[in-house]
Amino acid sequence: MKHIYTNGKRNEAKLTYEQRKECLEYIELLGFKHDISFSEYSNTAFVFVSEGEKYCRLVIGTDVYPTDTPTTPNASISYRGAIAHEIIGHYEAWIGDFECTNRYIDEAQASIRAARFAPDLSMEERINLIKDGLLRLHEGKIKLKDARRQMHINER
Amino acid sequence: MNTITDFKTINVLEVLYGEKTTLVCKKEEIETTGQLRITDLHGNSYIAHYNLSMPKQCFTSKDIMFLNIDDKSISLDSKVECI
Repeated sequence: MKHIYTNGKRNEAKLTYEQRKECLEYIELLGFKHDISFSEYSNTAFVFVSEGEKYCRLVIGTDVYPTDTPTTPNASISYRGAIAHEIIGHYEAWIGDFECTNRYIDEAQASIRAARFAPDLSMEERINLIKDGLLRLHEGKIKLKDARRQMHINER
Repeated sequence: MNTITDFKTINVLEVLYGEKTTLVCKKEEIETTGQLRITDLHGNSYIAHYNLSMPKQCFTSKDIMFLNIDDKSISLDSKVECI
Protein backbone atom coordinates (compact mmCIF):
# COMPACT_ATOMS: atom_id res chain seq x y z
CA MET A 1 0.00 0.00 0.00
CA LYS A 2 1.40 3.32 -1.03
CA HIS A 3 2.01 5.76 1.76
CA ILE A 4 2.65 9.36 1.09
CA TYR A 5 1.84 11.82 3.79
CA THR A 6 1.23 15.32 2.51
CA ASN A 7 -2.34 15.98 3.60
CA GLY A 8 -3.10 16.78 -0.03
CA LYS A 9 -0.62 19.66 -0.04
CA ARG A 10 1.87 18.13 -2.45
CA ASN A 11 1.66 15.75 -5.39
CA GLU A 12 0.71 12.18 -4.45
CA ALA A 13 0.57 10.62 -7.91
CA LYS A 14 3.36 8.34 -9.09
CA LEU A 15 6.02 10.29 -10.96
CA THR A 16 6.07 9.94 -14.72
CA TYR A 17 9.18 9.03 -16.70
CA GLU A 18 9.54 12.67 -17.77
CA GLN A 19 9.28 13.92 -14.20
CA ARG A 20 11.93 11.47 -13.03
CA LYS A 21 14.17 12.52 -15.90
CA GLU A 22 13.93 16.19 -15.10
CA CYS A 23 14.60 15.52 -11.42
CA LEU A 24 17.74 13.58 -12.29
CA GLU A 25 18.88 16.32 -14.66
CA TYR A 26 18.58 18.92 -11.94
CA ILE A 27 20.30 16.70 -9.37
CA GLU A 28 23.18 16.29 -11.83
CA LEU A 29 23.36 20.04 -12.27
CA LEU A 30 23.74 20.41 -8.49
CA GLY A 31 26.65 17.96 -8.52
CA PHE A 32 25.22 15.37 -6.12
CA LYS A 33 27.17 12.13 -6.63
CA HIS A 34 25.73 9.80 -3.97
CA ASP A 35 22.87 7.28 -3.96
CA ILE A 36 19.59 8.58 -5.39
CA SER A 37 16.30 6.69 -5.21
CA PHE A 38 12.73 7.34 -6.27
CA SER A 39 10.26 6.16 -3.68
CA GLU A 40 6.51 5.64 -3.64
CA TYR A 41 6.45 5.28 0.13
CA SER A 42 8.69 8.01 1.42
CA ASN A 43 8.54 11.75 1.28
CA THR A 44 11.37 13.55 -0.48
CA ALA A 45 14.20 13.36 2.02
CA PHE A 46 17.93 13.59 2.54
CA VAL A 47 18.81 10.38 4.38
CA PHE A 48 22.16 10.12 6.12
CA VAL A 49 24.20 8.21 8.64
CA SER A 50 26.87 10.00 10.59
CA GLU A 51 27.74 7.26 13.08
CA GLY A 52 30.77 5.32 11.94
CA GLU A 53 31.19 5.38 8.18
CA LYS A 54 29.43 8.43 6.71
CA TYR A 55 26.73 7.57 4.20
CA CYS A 56 23.90 9.45 2.52
CA ARG A 57 21.11 9.03 0.01
CA LEU A 58 18.70 11.41 -1.66
CA VAL A 59 15.20 9.96 -1.70
CA ILE A 60 12.78 11.52 -4.16
CA GLY A 61 9.14 11.01 -3.28
CA THR A 62 6.06 11.93 -5.27
CA ASP A 63 5.83 15.06 -3.11
CA VAL A 64 8.85 16.56 -4.88
CA TYR A 65 6.24 18.15 -7.15
CA PRO A 66 3.63 20.59 -5.91
CA THR A 67 -0.09 20.23 -6.55
CA ASP A 68 -1.85 22.43 -9.09
CA THR A 69 -3.31 24.69 -6.41
CA PRO A 70 -0.77 25.28 -3.66
CA THR A 71 -1.89 27.46 -0.79
CA THR A 72 1.23 27.81 1.38
CA PRO A 73 4.88 28.66 0.65
CA ASN A 74 5.90 25.08 1.43
CA ALA A 75 3.21 23.73 -0.88
CA SER A 76 4.35 26.09 -3.64
CA ILE A 77 7.94 24.93 -3.80
CA SER A 78 8.82 23.59 -7.24
CA TYR A 79 10.61 20.31 -7.84
CA ARG A 80 13.87 22.19 -8.36
CA GLY A 81 13.32 24.10 -5.15
CA ALA A 82 12.62 20.88 -3.26
CA ILE A 83 15.72 19.17 -4.63
CA ALA A 84 17.85 22.25 -3.96
CA HIS A 85 16.49 22.37 -0.38
CA GLU A 86 17.75 18.81 0.17
CA ILE A 87 21.11 19.09 -1.60
CA ILE A 88 22.26 22.68 -1.17
CA GLY A 89 20.43 22.91 2.14
CA HIS A 90 20.78 19.66 4.03
CA TYR A 91 23.47 17.70 2.17
CA GLU A 92 25.96 20.57 2.08
CA ALA A 93 25.29 21.35 5.74
CA TRP A 94 25.94 17.70 6.62
CA ILE A 95 29.13 17.50 4.57
CA GLY A 96 30.33 20.87 5.81
CA ASP A 97 29.35 20.06 9.38
CA PHE A 98 27.17 23.13 9.86
CA GLU A 99 23.80 21.57 10.50
CA CYS A 100 21.79 23.52 13.05
CA THR A 101 20.74 21.72 16.20
CA ASN A 102 17.39 23.51 16.26
CA ARG A 103 15.29 21.80 13.61
CA TYR A 104 13.30 24.90 12.69
CA ILE A 105 16.51 26.84 12.07
CA ASP A 106 17.99 23.88 10.21
CA GLU A 107 15.00 23.74 7.87
CA ALA A 108 15.02 27.49 7.40
CA GLN A 109 18.75 27.37 6.61
CA ALA A 110 18.08 24.68 3.99
CA SER A 111 15.40 26.71 2.24
CA ILE A 112 17.30 29.98 2.39
CA ARG A 113 20.51 28.39 1.11
CA ALA A 114 18.54 26.84 -1.74
CA ALA A 115 16.97 30.21 -2.55
CA ARG A 116 20.31 31.97 -2.58
CA PHE A 117 22.65 29.48 -4.18
CA ALA A 118 20.71 27.01 -6.33
CA PRO A 119 21.31 27.48 -10.05
CA ASP A 120 18.55 27.84 -12.63
CA LEU A 121 15.75 28.85 -10.28
CA SER A 122 13.27 31.54 -11.28
CA MET A 123 12.71 34.54 -9.04
CA GLU A 124 9.34 33.08 -8.05
CA GLU A 125 10.97 29.78 -7.04
CA ARG A 126 13.54 31.64 -4.93
CA ILE A 127 10.89 33.78 -3.27
CA ASN A 128 8.82 30.70 -2.39
CA LEU A 129 11.87 29.14 -0.75
CA ILE A 130 12.61 32.31 1.22
CA LYS A 131 8.99 32.48 2.37
CA ASP A 132 9.18 28.81 3.36
CA GLY A 133 12.32 29.47 5.38
CA LEU A 134 10.77 32.40 7.18
CA LEU A 135 7.63 30.41 7.90
CA ARG A 136 9.71 27.65 9.48
CA LEU A 137 11.24 30.18 11.85
CA HIS A 138 7.82 31.57 12.61
CA GLU A 139 6.54 28.06 13.41
CA GLY A 140 9.43 27.61 15.81
CA LYS A 141 8.82 31.06 17.35
CA ILE A 142 12.36 32.07 16.43
CA LYS A 143 13.35 35.58 15.47
CA LEU A 144 15.22 35.97 12.21
CA LYS A 145 17.95 38.03 13.83
CA ASP A 146 18.62 35.24 16.33
CA ALA A 147 18.54 32.51 13.68
CA ARG A 148 20.75 34.46 11.29
CA ARG A 149 23.68 34.11 13.68
CA GLN A 150 23.45 30.33 13.47
CA MET A 151 22.74 29.88 9.78
CA HIS A 152 25.36 29.46 7.06
CA ILE A 153 23.58 31.47 4.38
CA ASN A 154 26.23 33.89 3.21
CA GLU A 155 28.23 31.59 1.00
CA ARG A 156 28.00 28.16 -0.56
CA MET B 1 13.07 -23.30 29.84
CA ASN B 2 11.63 -21.25 27.00
CA THR B 3 14.48 -20.45 24.60
CA ILE B 4 12.35 -18.71 22.01
CA THR B 5 12.87 -14.97 21.90
CA ASP B 6 10.30 -12.68 20.33
CA PHE B 7 11.96 -10.16 18.07
CA LYS B 8 10.17 -7.10 16.78
CA THR B 9 9.20 -7.61 13.13
CA ILE B 10 9.92 -4.55 11.05
CA ASN B 11 7.29 -3.58 8.49
CA VAL B 12 9.41 -2.90 5.37
CA LEU B 13 7.58 -0.85 2.76
CA GLU B 14 10.32 -0.49 0.21
CA VAL B 15 13.93 -1.48 -0.43
CA LEU B 16 16.24 1.10 -2.01
CA TYR B 17 19.49 -0.21 -3.44
CA GLY B 18 22.80 1.52 -4.01
CA GLU B 19 26.13 1.84 -2.24
CA LYS B 20 24.18 0.70 0.79
CA THR B 21 20.71 -0.77 0.97
CA THR B 22 18.09 1.42 2.61
CA LEU B 23 14.93 -0.10 4.03
CA VAL B 24 11.97 2.28 4.07
CA CYS B 25 9.95 1.16 7.06
CA LYS B 26 7.03 2.12 9.22
CA LYS B 27 8.44 3.89 12.23
CA GLU B 28 9.24 1.67 15.20
CA GLU B 29 10.79 2.24 18.61
CA ILE B 30 14.25 0.88 17.95
CA GLU B 31 17.82 1.91 18.65
CA THR B 32 19.76 4.09 16.23
CA THR B 33 22.15 1.23 15.54
CA GLY B 34 21.65 -2.45 16.02
CA GLN B 35 21.16 -5.76 14.33
CA LEU B 36 18.51 -7.27 12.14
CA ARG B 37 17.69 -10.90 11.57
CA ILE B 38 16.80 -11.25 7.92
CA THR B 39 15.05 -14.39 6.69
CA ASP B 40 14.65 -15.03 2.99
CA LEU B 41 11.89 -16.96 1.23
CA HIS B 42 13.82 -20.21 1.60
CA GLY B 43 13.94 -19.84 5.35
CA ASN B 44 17.63 -18.97 5.46
CA SER B 45 18.44 -16.42 8.16
CA TYR B 46 21.38 -14.12 8.62
CA ILE B 47 22.29 -11.16 10.75
CA ALA B 48 22.84 -7.67 9.34
CA HIS B 49 24.00 -4.58 11.16
CA TYR B 50 21.87 -1.48 10.60
CA ASN B 51 22.13 2.26 11.11
CA LEU B 52 18.90 4.18 11.59
CA SER B 53 18.78 7.32 9.48
CA MET B 54 17.51 10.62 10.65
CA PRO B 55 16.08 11.97 7.43
CA LYS B 56 15.82 15.63 6.63
CA GLN B 57 12.54 16.04 4.84
CA CYS B 58 11.34 19.00 2.90
CA PHE B 59 7.72 18.04 3.50
CA THR B 60 6.88 16.45 6.77
CA SER B 61 6.25 12.78 7.22
CA LYS B 62 5.48 11.40 10.60
CA ASP B 63 5.73 7.66 10.56
CA ILE B 64 8.54 6.56 8.26
CA MET B 65 12.06 5.53 9.19
CA PHE B 66 15.08 4.43 7.18
CA LEU B 67 17.37 1.55 8.06
CA ASN B 68 20.67 1.39 6.21
CA ILE B 69 22.45 -1.95 5.84
CA ASP B 70 25.29 -3.32 3.73
CA ASP B 71 23.46 -6.44 2.56
CA LYS B 72 22.30 -6.26 -1.06
CA SER B 73 20.46 -9.56 -1.27
CA ILE B 74 17.51 -8.44 0.83
CA SER B 75 14.19 -7.96 -0.94
CA LEU B 76 10.61 -7.13 -0.04
CA ASP B 77 9.99 -10.86 0.35
CA SER B 78 12.47 -11.04 3.22
CA LYS B 79 11.29 -11.09 6.80
CA VAL B 80 13.11 -8.48 8.84
CA GLU B 81 13.28 -8.56 12.63
CA CYS B 82 15.06 -6.25 15.02
CA ILE B 83 17.15 -8.21 17.54
